[in-house]
Order: sequence, then structure tokens, then C-alpha cells
Amino acid sequence: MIKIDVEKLVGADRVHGRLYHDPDVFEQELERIWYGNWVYVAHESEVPRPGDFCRKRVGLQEVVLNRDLDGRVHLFYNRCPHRGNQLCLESDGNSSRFTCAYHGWTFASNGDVAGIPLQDGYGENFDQVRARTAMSQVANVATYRGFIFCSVNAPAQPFEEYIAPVRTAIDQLCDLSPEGEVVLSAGWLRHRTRCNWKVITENEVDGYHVRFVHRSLFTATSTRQSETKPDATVVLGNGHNALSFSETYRHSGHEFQWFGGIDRKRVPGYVAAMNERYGEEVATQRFVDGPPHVMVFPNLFIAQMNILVIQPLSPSESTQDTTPVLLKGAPEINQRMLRRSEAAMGPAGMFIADDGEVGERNQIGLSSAMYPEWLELSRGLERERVEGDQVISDETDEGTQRAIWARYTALMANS
Amino acid sequence: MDEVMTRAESINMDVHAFIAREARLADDHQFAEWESLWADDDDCLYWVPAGGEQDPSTRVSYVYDNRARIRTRVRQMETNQRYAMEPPPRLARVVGNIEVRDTDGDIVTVRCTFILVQFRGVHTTWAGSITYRLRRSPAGLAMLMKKVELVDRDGWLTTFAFLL
Repeated sequence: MIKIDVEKLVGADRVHGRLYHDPDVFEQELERIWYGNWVYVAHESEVPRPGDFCRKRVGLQEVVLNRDLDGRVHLFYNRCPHRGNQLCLESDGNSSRFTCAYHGWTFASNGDVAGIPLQDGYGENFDQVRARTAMSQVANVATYRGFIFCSVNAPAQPFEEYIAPVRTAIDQLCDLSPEGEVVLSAGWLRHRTRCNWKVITENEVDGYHVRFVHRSLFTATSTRQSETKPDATVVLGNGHNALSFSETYRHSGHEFQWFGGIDRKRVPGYVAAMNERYGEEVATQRFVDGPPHVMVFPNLFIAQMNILVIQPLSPSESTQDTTPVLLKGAPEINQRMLRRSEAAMGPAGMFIADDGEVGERNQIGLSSAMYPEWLELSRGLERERVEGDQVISDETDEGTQRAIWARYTALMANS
Repeated sequence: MDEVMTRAESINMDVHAFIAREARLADDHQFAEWESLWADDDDCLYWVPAGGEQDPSTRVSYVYDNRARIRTRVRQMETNQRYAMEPPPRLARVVGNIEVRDTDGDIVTVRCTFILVQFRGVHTTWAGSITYRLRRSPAGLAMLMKKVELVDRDGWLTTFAFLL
């Protein structure tokens, strides 16, 4: 397999356009990024009851997430161990068994063979055959606050190391629930965009574009972007990045700016439950601070109260699936959350449709015009500052993109 | 007998004419005129469900616009700054198999199917069934609900900012 020398294609302040459309680069990304280190798959709340299952993707792999009848969560490859048929056809559901339509083999919810029709055809070998034809599970699976990550092959780093820079952000999200749990049960808006996956990953921590790409929405709703714009780009480490809203929100001091600026009197049950669980002072701070806005490399975007999962399809096509973050124990919030999510997100979303459009134009530019070869990624180099483990800069700066490329290079490097 | 037949035909004809007009306005991106086809009720509904269950109290849809949100969506397009509509795609749709499924006082429920071809650099086909709830008044018909169930709502959709 041809190995691309990525170090020659990524500089301190520039990136080569080839990385967005070269098929050999894509193949190497599959090996090193999608199958070679931790990627986000699903949330435990998507399979709440024993027997629940749903189909997901890891890179180009089809997988099935389920909760077995003993309550344990599994991540199986969606392939019958007999002769490779597609095992699970439905998007989601509940079943105590998996049954292959081809020859009727059945599998228990933990992946063990439950039944092989006409087993006399295996003679004395039957027990051995049965033992080695359990459903295959993804080798490396790890979870933080219900967010399930996996690595198909040996991961480039231990999970604890991978997740460390974004623990605080995930906590910030989950701790908006009076029960400390988020629920992703509202279904998914599935968006296919004709652009490389990195165009999307980079855009999620790009503050620079908002006043241009989303101008139509600010005009239509008579709002100014300055009212709710992020106050900084934050490089978290390991390729993870965030846009900070905490200064913006704290400066005004208003509660729920991340939720349409509603008055707490309209969600009395939620306020009471949060006060009860965390105390008034902490609860009030959370109403002000709200959720994080963090891009967990490579493919989990926590867009405040929406989850957006990026997957590659080809060098020039990707998918983005979104669902609103529902909060366990907060029914008053959740109803509104559905409608807010619908307005902004998805292929028809008043925000996202324009991001999708710009992403597709970017792919056309990158793949059908050869020059200039390099993308300019120097914005903010002069003014970014190191603060502990993080690098902070203006919300329009490109330190976040540079950090994505640094992590990308480390994972893709010839070793 | 002739009177009954004439009435049945005339009911179908005004619905057919309304649907054809709505399709033309949506194809031609005539946002203001299209919006004027809606009743003024707050709970008007322009609905494009996602795959799976369709309970809006627990699940999100691609579009789930009440009357106020229809206004915002149209307003956004009228800015002529919506990147996904710059330039607007060329659209041609056919709406057919029109059946009046129910008449309850002045509310008519209509079911039909559509196929729409979109082109702007790339050729994309959309298709599905539409359920309309229309209110009939002396002034004519007005939309209370337009529910578009896409054939590929369980799959992945490309960007659509135009009126489906």
C-alpha cells in the first residue's frame, strides 16, 4: 500500500490541498485515523433496554450496537459469521436474537451462536464450529459518561490519554441534567455532503466564517452575531478543540443564553430539580455557562445542545448525523430542545444547510483547481497564547485548525 | 346523478388547481406568494419527517415548521443571502396521484405523490408522498398542513434549502 508522507504536506501554517481529495490519503486515513485510534460511535442511551440495538458506522465499517439481555453493551460487526451476509437490516429496534436471513443462523444478544439449522451437516465438528462463529466484536471499546468510543485496531494511545482533554467539556454537558445524564433518543437527521470529512471537522471550530455564511439567518431574525458569538478558540490537546462561550455568557450574566434566553420561570421544574441536586449556586452558574462547544477529534461534535457525528464515505463525500441533547430529568427543557434543534440543524437547517453548501464549494475548489497548492492557515499565529495545557486565541483564529492538522500528522506519520 | 357527479368533479378540480399552483410557486422560488397559500393559524404545519418513528413530541424531523417558523424560513430566503440558495437550484416537480381522502366540514385531507428533479451543478432527485390538509373558504383553499414523506427519509439526504 502506498504510504503518503504527510509530514511533507502539513506545515506550521499551511496544508496541502491534496490531503482533501487524494484517494491514497483517504486509504491511509482509514487505517490510521478511523481504524487506528479512538473514534466516536454512539451513546449508551441509544440502547437503554436489554435487547435494544442500533446500526452505526465506524469509518466505512458497518457495526451494530446493542445491549444484551444481561444489560451489557456490545459493538458487533454487522456481518454473519457463517458466510458474511448483512446480519442486521433495521436501523434500530429491540430483539432478543439476531437472525441471518440467508441460512437461518441465530445469535444470542451477546453474540454467541444460539442456533444453526441442520447442524448434523457439521458432524463431530459442530461444537468447534459453533465456538468459532460467534458474532465478531470491535476489539477496543471504551466509554465516558455514556459516550462510546472504539478503535478497530490497536489504538495509537490509551483511552484515558485520548479522552483527558475533553472530560471537562463532556462533564459540562452531562451536568446540565439533574440526573447527570444525557439522552440521545430523539432520532437522527442524516445529512450527506459532497466534501471531505476534514472540511467538516475543521469548520466546527471555525469562528471566522459565522458572520458571512450565516448572515442570512441573522438578517432574517434581526439578531446580531455579536450577541451570541464565542469569545475564544481553545486548543485542548490530542486534536480536540473548542470554541468558548463562557466569557460571552458571563459578561452578560443572563441565564440560558444557550437556550433562547428563556426566563427560568418558564422551566420551574428543571430549575427546582437542578437546585435540589447541585445546590442553587452551582445550578445558577450552569444556567449561565450552558453546554460546551467542542470538536472531539476526529468525529464527535458537541455543538452545545446538539450532537453531530461525522463519518467519511469517500475522499469527496461524508455524512453528518445530528440529534438534540436531551437531559434526563428535564422534560420541560426537552420538548423545546427538539424544536430548536430542527430549526438549526440537518440538511434543511437554517444554519447547517449553509455550512453544507460552503463545504461543498470548498471541495469543488480543492479538487478541481490545482493552484495555489497550499491552504493558508496562519491566522492568529502572532497573537495566540499558551495557558497551561491549552492554546487560547481570538474566536476567529485558526489555531484550532492547526491543532487538528498536528494531531492528524502524528497519527498518519510513517513509523 | 349528474349534479352529484358535477359537484365531485368541481371539488377535485379546485384541489388539483391549488396543488399545481403550490408546486409552481415552490419550483419558481416565489416565496412570498407561496407563503400566502398558508392559513394564518399559529399551528399550521410544514412537516418533513425523518426516518423511523414520526412522533414529534419525542423525535426530530428535517422540517417541523409552525406558522411562525414558516415565516422565518421564508424571510431567510428573501434575504437572498442564504448560501444554499445562491444561486437557487433549478427545480421541476410533478405532483400526481391526487386523492381527496377525507372531507370534514371545510377541511379537506389530500394525499398525492411527487417527484422533483433539482439541478445546480449536480442532478438530484427527490420523491415521496405528500399529505395536505387544506381549509376551504369562499376565498378559496388555504394550507393548514403539508407533510412530505420522502422515500429516502431513512437514508442520508443532501442539503435542501428550497421548498420541498
